[in-house]
Amino acid sequence: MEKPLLEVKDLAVNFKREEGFFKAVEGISFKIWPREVVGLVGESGSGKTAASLSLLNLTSSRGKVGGEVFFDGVNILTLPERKLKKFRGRQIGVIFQEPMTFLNPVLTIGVQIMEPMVEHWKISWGQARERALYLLSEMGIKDSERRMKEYPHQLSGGIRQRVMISMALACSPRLLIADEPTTALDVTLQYQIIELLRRIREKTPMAILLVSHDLEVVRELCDRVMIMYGGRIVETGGIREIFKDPLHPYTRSLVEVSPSFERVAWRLPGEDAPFSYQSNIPAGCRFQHRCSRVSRECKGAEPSLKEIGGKGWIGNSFSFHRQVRCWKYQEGALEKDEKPL
Amino acid sequence: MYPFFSRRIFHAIIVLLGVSLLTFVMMNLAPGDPYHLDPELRFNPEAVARWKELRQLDQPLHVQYFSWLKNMLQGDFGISLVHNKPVWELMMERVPATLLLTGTSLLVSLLISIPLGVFSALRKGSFWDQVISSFTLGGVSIPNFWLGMLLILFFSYHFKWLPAAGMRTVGMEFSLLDYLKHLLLPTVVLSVASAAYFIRYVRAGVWEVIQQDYIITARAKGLGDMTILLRHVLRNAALPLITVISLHLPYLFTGAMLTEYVFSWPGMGRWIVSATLSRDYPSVMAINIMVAFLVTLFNLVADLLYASFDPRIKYR
Amino acid sequence: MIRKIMLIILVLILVLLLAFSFSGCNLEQSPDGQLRVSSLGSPITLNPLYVRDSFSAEVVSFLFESLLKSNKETLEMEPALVYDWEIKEEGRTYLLNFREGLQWSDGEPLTAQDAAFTLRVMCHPDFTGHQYSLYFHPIVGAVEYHLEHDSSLADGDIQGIEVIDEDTLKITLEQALAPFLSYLEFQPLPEHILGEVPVAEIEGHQFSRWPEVTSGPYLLEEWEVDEYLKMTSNQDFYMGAPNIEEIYYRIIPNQEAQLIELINGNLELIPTAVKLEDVEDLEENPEVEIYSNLRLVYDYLGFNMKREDTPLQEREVRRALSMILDREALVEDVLLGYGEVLHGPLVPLQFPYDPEFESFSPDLGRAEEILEETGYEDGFELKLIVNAGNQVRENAALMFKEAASQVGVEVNIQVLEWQAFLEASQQGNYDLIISGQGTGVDPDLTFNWHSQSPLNELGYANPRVDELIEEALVTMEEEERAEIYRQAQEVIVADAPMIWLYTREAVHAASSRLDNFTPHPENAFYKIYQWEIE
Repeated sequence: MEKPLLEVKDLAVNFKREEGFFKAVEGISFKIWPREVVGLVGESGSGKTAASLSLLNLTSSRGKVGGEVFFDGVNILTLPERKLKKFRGRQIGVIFQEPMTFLNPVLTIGVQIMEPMVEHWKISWGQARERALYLLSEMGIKDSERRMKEYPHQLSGGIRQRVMISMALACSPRLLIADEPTTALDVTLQYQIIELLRRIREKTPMAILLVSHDLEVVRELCDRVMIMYGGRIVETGGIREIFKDPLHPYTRSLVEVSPSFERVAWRLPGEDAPFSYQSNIPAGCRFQHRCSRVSRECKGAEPSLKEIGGKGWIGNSFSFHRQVRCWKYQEGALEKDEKPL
Repeated sequence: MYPFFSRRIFHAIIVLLGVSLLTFVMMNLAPGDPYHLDPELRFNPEAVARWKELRQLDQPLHVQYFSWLKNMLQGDFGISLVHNKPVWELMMERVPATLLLTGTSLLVSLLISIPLGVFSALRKGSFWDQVISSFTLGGVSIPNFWLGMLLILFFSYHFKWLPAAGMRTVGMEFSLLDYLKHLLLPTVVLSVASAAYFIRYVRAGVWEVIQQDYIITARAKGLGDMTILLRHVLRNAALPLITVISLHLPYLFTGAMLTEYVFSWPGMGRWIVSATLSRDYPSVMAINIMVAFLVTLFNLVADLLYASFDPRIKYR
Repeated sequence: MIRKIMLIILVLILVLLLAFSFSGCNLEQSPDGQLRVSSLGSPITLNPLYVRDSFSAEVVSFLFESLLKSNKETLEMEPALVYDWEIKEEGRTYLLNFREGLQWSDGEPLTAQDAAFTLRVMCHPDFTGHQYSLYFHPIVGAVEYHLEHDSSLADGDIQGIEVIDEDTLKITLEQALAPFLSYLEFQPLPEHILGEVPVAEIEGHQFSRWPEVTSGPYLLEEWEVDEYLKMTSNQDFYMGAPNIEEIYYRIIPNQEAQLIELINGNLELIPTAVKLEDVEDLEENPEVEIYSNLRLVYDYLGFNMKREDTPLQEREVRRALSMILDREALVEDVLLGYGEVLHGPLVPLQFPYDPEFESFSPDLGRAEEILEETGYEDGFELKLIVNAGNQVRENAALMFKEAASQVGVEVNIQVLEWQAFLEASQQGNYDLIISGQGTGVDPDLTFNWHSQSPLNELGYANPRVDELIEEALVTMEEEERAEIYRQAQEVIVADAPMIWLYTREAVHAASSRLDNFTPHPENAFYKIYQWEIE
């Protein structure tokens, strides 16, 4: 059996604010195997972006990252910045959600695509240029010669996101973190980018962590999905299982309001995404205020992430667990009364 | 591009005309007359009349102004009433020293303020940031004159390390070190205020840039700190700095006038003061036009630099 | 990384500073035979005929020699280019004998022709200096020349100026003029250079900016604008080559910097412009010598007598106001003793000066009485103008205001920028003015005290004084003349047209290596060819 490419243990991210520490991510653990495409789904404020950025210690100076992140067996969070840089961009590429603000406005896109190669591979700009042109045409950008000399503001949203992807792929990383790669785009473009990612996924041996609030996007691309709520993973499972048989009430509501591909923004019933300041984290399950099936024990203690059923399979080599964090599926409180939909 | 330029040049011409007219009117409204320099001449109406006639000062004011304007447009700034010498020559004799002093000071203040400002922004709130902040506060509030005298007292009088006056040791063979020694104190005096002023803007600019999303992108690419700083941060932070520098240049120039006096530097400063005090109209006109021209020019250069630093800006 | 770079920059700055300080430890002493003199400003013109400021006058005195020179103590005229002279026809003709073999610096002979040419320039209609109207119009034919000469060049002849031969010049005056000899302290211009230049263009001519052909002890070699002028000794100077080979006239507008440069050995002489407050410290320095000498200038507080309907029209009021100021205190406290109280228009060194003569001494009680007697017991207001930037005069103004308030007179002081001050003084827009007056070498009182003189700013008019002045002008015998001036002085002082405040001394600081430094009341560089530097 292969070793996992990425193993995250008990990852926590705290942001220092004037009001106190804001726990964006609390004790999440997961693994990603080579070639696997994993979705990390949650609404805004659920901590999914913080979780993905913290894997490379990219959170701002006010963010404190705890826990362990093993990449290929190396705990990269304990590495000095100097060594950690060798992972960033080279082993792990990142696509950000808003290409307009995540691209430097005063540098040509050519420079921005070439610079990680020049940095990591110590090749000349001329050599890097060859590959950049190749990457751009791979991304379906015509006239890549001319595009290389253009600046972000001269490009359309779709092209910008393709540039962003080329940048992330420049050094052929083994893991790609895609943080909401389609959110900022309109629907047709979303579809094109998803197609693009799908093609990349087929052509390269790279693993992908797709961070999104959009279950539909995840469904298009992923093998497996992790649902986050309030800084915690609340459910994991294979993509088909999740859609067929969502266990956690939150997952269930996500699946329910996610009928079609056209829907861009949605909102859950209940209040806005909770701010989980240390002072006002509720005792018990974090979803209790918005849960339609809340019971007494939900208000008592927080349920643990519980494995349900056996291992699932993707491809032929790796296994995963179906997990859920809900009192209904805890030992002794297993559901007898109702079967999930 | 061209429409933009012609519009700017048109504006510049209007400004320069305005400055010249205003200067002309103010000079003529101020009490006194250039011939007052000669006490005997003052009391000899006949000689005064002859003196004025020879210099065409007996004509009506508007005639004087337009003939000045006509000559100026042909590159002739007239003859100084005090020095009896073309104003252009007087200016050219003094401009190099002032340019040397202001140029060095601008360079030095940028060399000081950029690293310190960047450092301050990156370590915002740290002990050294606070040290630098107090320096900037002190730097902008210390008067040039006072600082200059203080430095002379310490370095020239007390320690006898550096000369107190002039641009070089007279009667000595050319020596670069000698020039540098003379340049050091005036440059320090003139740079302190500018550096302090620039540091604040560099710090604020860099601080704002490092909050930007594209810096996260740059870090995610695994770029080195220096690459991020030079290629991503400074290029963006340079934009507001260019404006600040171009707006600051007139102040630097004014500061140079005082500093030149304190250190007996042979620049424009003394000439400007004496020309004004002696009502040397052609000199005063030329100086004002020159300064206004330089300010306009620097603003234009700043706009061009802006465009070259920020591809989003296009002039039409 | 950033920290490393910061460190490197810091170390670099420190190293540079250290390098500077070590290399700067030995400030260069001037080579032998070099004299460095400081000045607060730059000369404006180097043409002696157009000199209007002290800096130009100083440099011109290095470069040009005059026909005659006044002695630094007696003020009597002494030979210079002219070594001998005769005054004939009861003071109407002057026969001037030039030294033989005089040369311009280009080797051309300097002759009586050049002096005649220079006189013609000064009398030419296009000449804008003051010399014609003050000094030379009494020459026979000068008025004619000035009014009727119709060439732009200073050619032709003035009847009263005759070149007898190369070395002899004869000047004939319309009538005897006692001070005329002192007017001959002018520096001739080279006719072979300027003879073909229209007079109107001489002031702006290249020669006025950089005189290549000169007659003085030094030759101009370098002029770095607002920085220094370098002059080298004239090997062909008629008194022999000066001892000091090179002179640097350094322009240092900052007085404190001048002192520091002197103490640090970068300067050998600060002529005239030493701040009185610094003198005490300097005197303790064994390497610095302080020199001082009286000058032919005085400061005064003048009463405007041109304005009608002011109390100052009344002689008694002026006399009363002349009694209130303690001038001894002014000289002691403000001038720190570097000056003398003056009692009348004749200054020390001039031959008619009488050290015994005294005018009003401070007597507030008497002043008050007089004001009561004249009907001004309720007091009145007066406007006093003074130019900005002269500490001593501003202090004098304050002391006077203080004293006046004790006799019920309110003085409003207006401190004016120089040009505004000149304008106000010319328009008579004041009651009281504090200003300065140069007297010249000759005691002649015409310019300031004759009722018809345009320079008589205050509007003083007394027919008896006019008479005495006119008489003195034609009196050639010195003792007789002195007696007339003393009489005139008594009349003038009794009329109290001004309060003579003081004559200020010139204070010079020199390196103790400088010898034979003998400043003249009007020229610090008197007989510079005799100076020596160790």
